[in-house]
Amino acid sequence: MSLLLGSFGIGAGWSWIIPLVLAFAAVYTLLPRPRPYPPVLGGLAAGCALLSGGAFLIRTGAVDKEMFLFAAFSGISVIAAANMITQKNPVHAALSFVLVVLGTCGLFLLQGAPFLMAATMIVYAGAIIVTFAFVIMMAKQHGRSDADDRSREPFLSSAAGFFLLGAILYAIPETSLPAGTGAPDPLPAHRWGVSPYSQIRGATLDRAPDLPAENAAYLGRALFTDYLVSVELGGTLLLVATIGSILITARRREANR
Amino acid sequence: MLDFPLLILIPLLPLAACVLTALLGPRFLKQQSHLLCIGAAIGSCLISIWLLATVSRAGAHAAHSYYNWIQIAEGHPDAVDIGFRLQADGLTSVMLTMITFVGTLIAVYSVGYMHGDEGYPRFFAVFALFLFSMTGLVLANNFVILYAFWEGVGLCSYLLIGFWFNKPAAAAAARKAFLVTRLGDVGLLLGILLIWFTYLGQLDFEYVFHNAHAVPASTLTIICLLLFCGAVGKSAQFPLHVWLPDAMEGPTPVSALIHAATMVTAGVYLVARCTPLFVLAPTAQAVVALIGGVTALLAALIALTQNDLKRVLAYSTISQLGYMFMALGSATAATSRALVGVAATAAIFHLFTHAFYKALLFLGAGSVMHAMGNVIDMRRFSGLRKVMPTTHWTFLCGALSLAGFPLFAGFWSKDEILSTTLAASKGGHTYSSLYLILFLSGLLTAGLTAFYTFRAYFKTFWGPEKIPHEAGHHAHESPRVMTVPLMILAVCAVGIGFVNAEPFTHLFHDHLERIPLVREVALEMGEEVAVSKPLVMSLSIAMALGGIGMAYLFYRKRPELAPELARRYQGLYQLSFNKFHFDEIYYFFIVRPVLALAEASRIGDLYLVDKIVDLIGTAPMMVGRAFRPIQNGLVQFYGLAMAMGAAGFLIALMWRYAW
Amino acid sequence: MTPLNLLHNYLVVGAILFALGMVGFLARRNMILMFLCSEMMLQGVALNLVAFSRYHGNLQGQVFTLFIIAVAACEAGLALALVFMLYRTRKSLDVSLWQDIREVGEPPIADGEPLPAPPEPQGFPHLIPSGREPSKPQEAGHA
Repeated sequence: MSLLLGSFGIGAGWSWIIPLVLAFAAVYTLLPRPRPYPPVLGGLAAGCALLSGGAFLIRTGAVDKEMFLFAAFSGISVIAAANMITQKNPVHAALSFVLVVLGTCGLFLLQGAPFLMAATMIVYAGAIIVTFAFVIMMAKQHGRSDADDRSREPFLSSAAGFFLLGAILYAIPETSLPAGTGAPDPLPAHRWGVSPYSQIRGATLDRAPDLPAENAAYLGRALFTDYLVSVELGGTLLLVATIGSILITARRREANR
Repeated sequence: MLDFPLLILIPLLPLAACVLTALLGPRFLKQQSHLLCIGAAIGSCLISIWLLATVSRAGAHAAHSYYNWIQIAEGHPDAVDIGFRLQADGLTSVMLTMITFVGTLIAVYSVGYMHGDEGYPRFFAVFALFLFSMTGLVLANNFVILYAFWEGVGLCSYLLIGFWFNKPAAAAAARKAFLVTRLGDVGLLLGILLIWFTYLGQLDFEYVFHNAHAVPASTLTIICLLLFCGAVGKSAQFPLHVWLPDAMEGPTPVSALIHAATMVTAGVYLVARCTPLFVLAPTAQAVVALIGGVTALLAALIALTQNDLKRVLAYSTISQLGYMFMALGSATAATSRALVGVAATAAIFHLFTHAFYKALLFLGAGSVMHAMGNVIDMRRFSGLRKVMPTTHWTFLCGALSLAGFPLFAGFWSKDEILSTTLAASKGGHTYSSLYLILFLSGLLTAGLTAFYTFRAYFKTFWGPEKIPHEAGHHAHESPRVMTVPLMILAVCAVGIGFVNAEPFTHLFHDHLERIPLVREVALEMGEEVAVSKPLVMSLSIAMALGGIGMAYLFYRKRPELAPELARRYQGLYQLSFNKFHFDEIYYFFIVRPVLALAEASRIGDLYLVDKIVDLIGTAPMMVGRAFRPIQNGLVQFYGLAMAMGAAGFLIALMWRYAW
Repeated sequence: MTPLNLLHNYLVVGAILFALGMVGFLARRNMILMFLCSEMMLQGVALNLVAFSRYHGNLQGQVFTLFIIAVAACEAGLALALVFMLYRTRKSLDVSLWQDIREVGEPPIADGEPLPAPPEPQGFPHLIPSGREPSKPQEAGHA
């Protein structure tokens, strides 16, 4: 990003704030209110934000395959995310979240994590969102309701969120990570910690590892050797959560009867 | 310098008795609480007698240092060196014997007097504490330890006067006693500080007395006057005598012990102990003698008209103490070396005999009070000699001794004092005329003493038998535990004078004169002054018999004369009856302004200080009230607050590191 | 594109998702939507972790992400159960109804402007059934 910013060449690289501010204005106007601003304002601001953000990204260098895919997937994610938080209808918001997850999964694939992509899609989009949708429909609000049509402190919350984003965006280029090659980090000298099983063989940053299918194998091997205890604990956690949610709803139902 | 290892036991035995009685008394000993106290008193008495024998035989001086309390910067002008050091010479041993002997007898008497009282253990605990303080006082070897025990006796006096603290009069009397003696104690403390300053940090008696001649006379006069302030307070001299009559609110054994025999004599002991200082300051001694003489006459005049038997005895105590100070003030340097020794001896001898017969008189009054159901107003009872024969005879012994009847103890000691005063008036020095006036006033006071003593005697024990209704079935002789001490004291009141019956025996004189310091000082003086002993003796016998005769006339032969005289000289009578309005004057000029100041302080505290404190208290409350709306119960608001906090933190970090 | 910029890109996208999720969490009043936004924050974090995993060349980030998904699933289940219980009590999904844990003596925060009334359903003209004679002249005026 610093190269991107730097190559823009204006002043001390503050121009990336413009899409930030436009996006802030868009989200602020689009958050639900009893008497909403005309959506065209928010839409306009959002469009400008995306355009100026895109301008930044495209300004420097040629757009190559990976960059294009990256731009597409991240664009889908960001637009869907913005829609989700400003949408009045909760079902529409849940469906927007599905789009966010799909976009993120694409990004996972680009990073060489196919197993994670599949797992996220199945678990998140397939199970969690569906559960959300079920509950939304069970707890149906008729007509207009306070829950959907109002926002709590739209200005302050938007300001806080975008200020945080601005700080992170400012700080990221300032970090001085050594240039990564994508090659595995050397193993630490001490005994505990990661074993060679966690390392991705043959991976460099310019190209994905030899066989994407190996990712699942590596992941499995690492999980059941280095992170065995965590896996067991995770399983226990899932069991406890299941029992917990049944218990919470079940007891009350009997009391209500 | 001899070593007497049991010296520390004399004060320690009563202290141990006090602590044990206080701890075990209320629950375990209850009505047997007197055992520890009497045991300790007897123990101390035996050790004191042994000490007396040792000191008088060896003719020396026992001293022992027990504990180095404060020792700072030796050699430096601001040094402080105070140790818990005790000493015993002739003066101390005599006083110890007197204190412990009379104390034991009074303790035995109290078993009967305080029988059945609720605070029985408390009485004996404080009694033992008092014995500890008083013996410590006379044993002390430096001024600070003396002052510590001085305060100790003051405290015990307060506790014992206010023994029946639920009675408002007793509580007020205790407070009054403490505060008035406090005034004197301030002077004493200033005197001690001046000694410390003058003597460059040394406070031991030996050092101070040895180097007294090196101190300039003016400083020495001031020191002596300040030390005498303490004596004025503690020994109830004019103008601080007002507390002693009120102190009669306490139980009668307390009056006998503290306000007749021991505590009030602490002042006399102090001045006697500091004789080496006083002899070098004739002005101070003149002041001492003057105040003594004035007090003696004043108290005697007041005692003429009092109706409360114990009050009469209280005023007579004040008067006799005045005699002692008159004698101490006569030990003046300008006359003769012998006079110094003789005068100090006379004062201590009078103290000694006075202890016995005054204690006897007070215990007798207590016996009367006990029989009359706590009525002590002489107008309400009379003719008790058939009802209480033992009390009657012992009281008569004490009265004769007090009046100075020939051959009784009081006669010899009073005689000594009058002759030293007369001797001091000879020699042609600055204050000789003062001493002559004091001699004459002393004679007059002797006559008045005899008169009011026998007035009390005749009014109580002679006349028609009249018993107040409060007596009920109490109106009989007191039990043996109370009459046996009376009889022992009566024997002493008659016979104790013979130890120093000048010019026949000189035991006391010889004993005391062996105090090395007094002898040293006396050696530097001029030659002997002759005083006509038979003249003084005959004058004092005349005054005594005259007083007794007048009392007999007014209260036995022709009882209608007294009220007639009172009505004729109504003004003088009222003046005497109202104690010369001292209490009223003090109340108006001193007590009321202090009370007004206290009230002003209270209001200032209530409306100013309290309000400021409240204001300081409300400030956090205001701040809290300002911050309250942040907690409004909305989860998202809390989340927002967290996010804003994180945002603020980020600003700080970026400001610090990124710019 | 140097490797560092690639990492930065992904971090930026993760940050954007996270920030949007935070805004939604703080602003929306529908309880279910609040949790959905928190899930989106987790997505942003997962993206971050996977990017670093690629950068360091080991699988630690991916493993962590797997666990995040597992925990997110548990959390979602339990949270929805609780939300459903709350809905049962007040028959509304508004989180602002639950204000009882506030300072004693403070008044509850109420909404300012009321919601505008929903638009009235368009009334269709009331036609008489065909073929029948209008009974009274008043009925014709009903349309």
